[in-house]
Amino acid sequence: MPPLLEVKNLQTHFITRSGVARAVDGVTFSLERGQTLGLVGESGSGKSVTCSSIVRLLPKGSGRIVGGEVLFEGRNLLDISENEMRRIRGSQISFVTQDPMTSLNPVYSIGNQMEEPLRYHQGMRNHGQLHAKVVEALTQVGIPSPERRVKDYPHQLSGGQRQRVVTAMAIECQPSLLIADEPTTALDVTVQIQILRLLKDVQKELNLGMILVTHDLSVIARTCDKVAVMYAGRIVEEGPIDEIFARPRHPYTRSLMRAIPQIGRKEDRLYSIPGQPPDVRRLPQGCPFAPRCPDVIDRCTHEAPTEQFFGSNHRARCLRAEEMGAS
Amino acid sequence: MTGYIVSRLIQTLVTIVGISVVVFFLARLSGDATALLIPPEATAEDREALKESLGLDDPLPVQYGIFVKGIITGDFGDSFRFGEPALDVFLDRFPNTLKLAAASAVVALLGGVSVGVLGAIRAGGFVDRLTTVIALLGQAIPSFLIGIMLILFFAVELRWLPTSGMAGPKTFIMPAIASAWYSMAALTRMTRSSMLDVMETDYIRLARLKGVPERAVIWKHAFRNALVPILSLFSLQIIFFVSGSVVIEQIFAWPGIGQLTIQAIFSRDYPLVQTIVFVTSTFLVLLNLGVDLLYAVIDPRIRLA
Amino acid sequence: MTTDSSSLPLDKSVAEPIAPKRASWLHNLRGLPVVPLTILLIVIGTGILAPIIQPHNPNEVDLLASLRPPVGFDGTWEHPLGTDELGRDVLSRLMDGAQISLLVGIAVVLGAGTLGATLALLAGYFRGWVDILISRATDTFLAVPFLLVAISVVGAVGASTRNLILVLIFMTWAGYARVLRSEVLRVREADFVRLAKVAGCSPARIIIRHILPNIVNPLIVLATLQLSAVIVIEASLSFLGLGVPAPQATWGGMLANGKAYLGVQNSLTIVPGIAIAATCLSINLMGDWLRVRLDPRFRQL
Repeated sequence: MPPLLEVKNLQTHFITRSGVARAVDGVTFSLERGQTLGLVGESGSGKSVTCSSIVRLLPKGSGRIVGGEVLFEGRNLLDISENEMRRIRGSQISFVTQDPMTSLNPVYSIGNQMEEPLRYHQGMRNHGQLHAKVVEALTQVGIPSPERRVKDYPHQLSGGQRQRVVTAMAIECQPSLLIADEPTTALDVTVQIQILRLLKDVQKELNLGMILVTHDLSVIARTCDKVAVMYAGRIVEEGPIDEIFARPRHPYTRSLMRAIPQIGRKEDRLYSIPGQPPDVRRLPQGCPFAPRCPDVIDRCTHEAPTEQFFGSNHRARCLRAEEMGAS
Repeated sequence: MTGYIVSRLIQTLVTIVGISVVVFFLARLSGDATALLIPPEATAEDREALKESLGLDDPLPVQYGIFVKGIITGDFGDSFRFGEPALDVFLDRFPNTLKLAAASAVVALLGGVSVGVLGAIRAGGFVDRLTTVIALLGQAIPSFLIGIMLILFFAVELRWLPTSGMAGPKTFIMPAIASAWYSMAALTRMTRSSMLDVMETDYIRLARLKGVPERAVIWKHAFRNALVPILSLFSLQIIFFVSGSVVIEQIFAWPGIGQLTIQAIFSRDYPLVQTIVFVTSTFLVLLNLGVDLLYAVIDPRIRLA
Repeated sequence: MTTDSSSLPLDKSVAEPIAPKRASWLHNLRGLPVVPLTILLIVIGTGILAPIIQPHNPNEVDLLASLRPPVGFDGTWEHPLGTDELGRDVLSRLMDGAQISLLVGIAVVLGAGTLGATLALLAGYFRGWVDILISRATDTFLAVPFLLVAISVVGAVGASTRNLILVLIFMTWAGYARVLRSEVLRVREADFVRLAKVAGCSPARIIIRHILPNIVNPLIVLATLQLSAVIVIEASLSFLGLGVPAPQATWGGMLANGKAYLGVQNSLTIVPGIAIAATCLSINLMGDWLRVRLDPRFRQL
């Protein structure tokens, strides 16, 4: 049986006036049912574009998938028709988006919006049936008194509740893959933890494959089985969660880990990675992280690093990956 | 919601009072109101009687009080020309203007919204460029010019349509298009930009991520949200349909209040002019109020606030 | 009216910079619409120079030469654009009409712009009852059927160029007041205005030295668009016979005349029609260009 999702050498470019931006530049990873993959990196590293590319919803006009394969249950999603793709969106692959405050349509009730996936994917028309299904989904995500909430409008709900609604909408049609694109960034810290717990619960209960996009490694540590670190449109390191946290092999991963604030750590100042993420329209020769890398050597500035494997499932794209793991 | 309605009601009332002040001064602008408010053939005694009843020697606030009393009791005076109550003469013609206004509104709304939406979903394409041209021409070419050109081509040259008058559906076509012209262009522009704004939002993205078909994304999710600014512009345009009727009706010999106004002005039938201006304005203000309350139905954020 | 404005597409202007950037004049002329500008210069030129360059006296009746077609349609260079039903030279009358259109248009825009801007400054700066009074008056004037009231007033006071200008000022100031008031409200919250208040500047000084310069750009843009609107209104009123009285030639009046000869001599309607359309289109295009150059909110487009 093929893996749930296999992304092979995915390339997504944005054609802008000032040049071609290689937002996603040869991304490869795979995911099994019941697994959670954490996709981590700074903003602009290509995490979100990777996710959008999987369901082929890029900003109109400028964005284009120029190469690679997205195999979902063995079928290449880049080959199927737009109509087939649409039927997969929201039914087999569903999304939890970043900002619940703006992701729900302000002029339709919660119930109305939640009925849509059922109507469009399962052809459900019966009002009683729809209502029952919606209430069931709302109960599942822990919305109190769901019977009443169905008639409410988005602006009457708190941010946390709205994100629960978005989550409920995502799981209504029993998907096999759930993509959560920074689902907690826009929320209060206390609510963040609740939503993460909810996503984890839902994932376990339905045995979903889940991709969790975040720029926060501490979130990954709590929720994921494996992690892929992205930098400048590429995965620079990928591996099982304990491997990565125990022996990070890419200096960028190490920097990200140093940037996690920890109670009890004796440091005067919070560490932040110096410099700016590179401009993906003008990538430097050699390793794109070289200008910011604390462990940079001469070779890095002119020799592009290839992927090196450590064991069967840990890989890193760094010339010094071997020695990094040893230290 | 109640707070919103109450404040809108008060605002409307203030505006109506404002209109009554404008209309009140209308007859007094020329200096001697009796010259305007009485038929030229009236005797000196008639003149004195009118002066008495309007209290023209009284201070202005008192005169205004008498004027308002007349409005409230529905007594706008008699039309000189028709010899019957001015309000009756007005109400006799008003439906014709409304019919034309309604036809124009339909043309403007259907034309403007459909072209605007098409332009927005094909942004940058041929249809989109067409919308820009339509919007520009609509703004620059006055409706009476369009009216005359329509007559020239479709009535005089091609002889497809009757030049003027009101008789049957065919006679509506040219006046409705001419009268809708400006608004259609403005609505096209507004629809396009409003739709483009909405199409960029997160909820449209989520709708697509849910697998909602594109047609429903556009008409159910995007259009309903784009509708609020479109409708608020449209409600302003309603004024143009009625106001513009003055010119359009003159061109197409349409028996509505626009034509009536011109006739009343040229025959110096000022009680009738006052009636037309006041009642029409008040009608439009109330219509605007209705539209504003309609927003509350469309946008739950207003309804439930 | 709403608790959640973040998803409303309307409020994009909130965080925009207020002070306009200064750049060289040459840079400012980029993308200047040449054709519209040329048309406008021709209209202005013929309007000003009309008495000198008119081939005929525009009011000279010559019944023997009535309803002559323009050159290119069997006409002669004696009357390049033909003659009307009284044998008056259409080209000369068109030049007179340009003069009137420009005179009325510019006078009304100056008058209404000044009145509207003054009221907007007072309302926006002092708020309170001054604001309420002015805003309600603005609402009233925007709510009435404009043309209907305008012709009634003209009818009451009698048609003349002076009265026409006064009536149109009276009827169009509200548009400026509404738009500029919200500009003033935006500017008065800016740091440099607060600073001026703290420094003890008088209200008059703050309004004139600090706020006024910041609403000049939207005022210019608005005035340009209003100019074409006023020209259309003047033409409409003249068309109805309630504008500048005959025999003075106006574009609207020429159209009204020509309408009676539709099918007989179409050029009598088409010629003034083209004059109005070309002028208004050019002004609008200039206005769009100015808006993009002057209004910072449109600069990113």
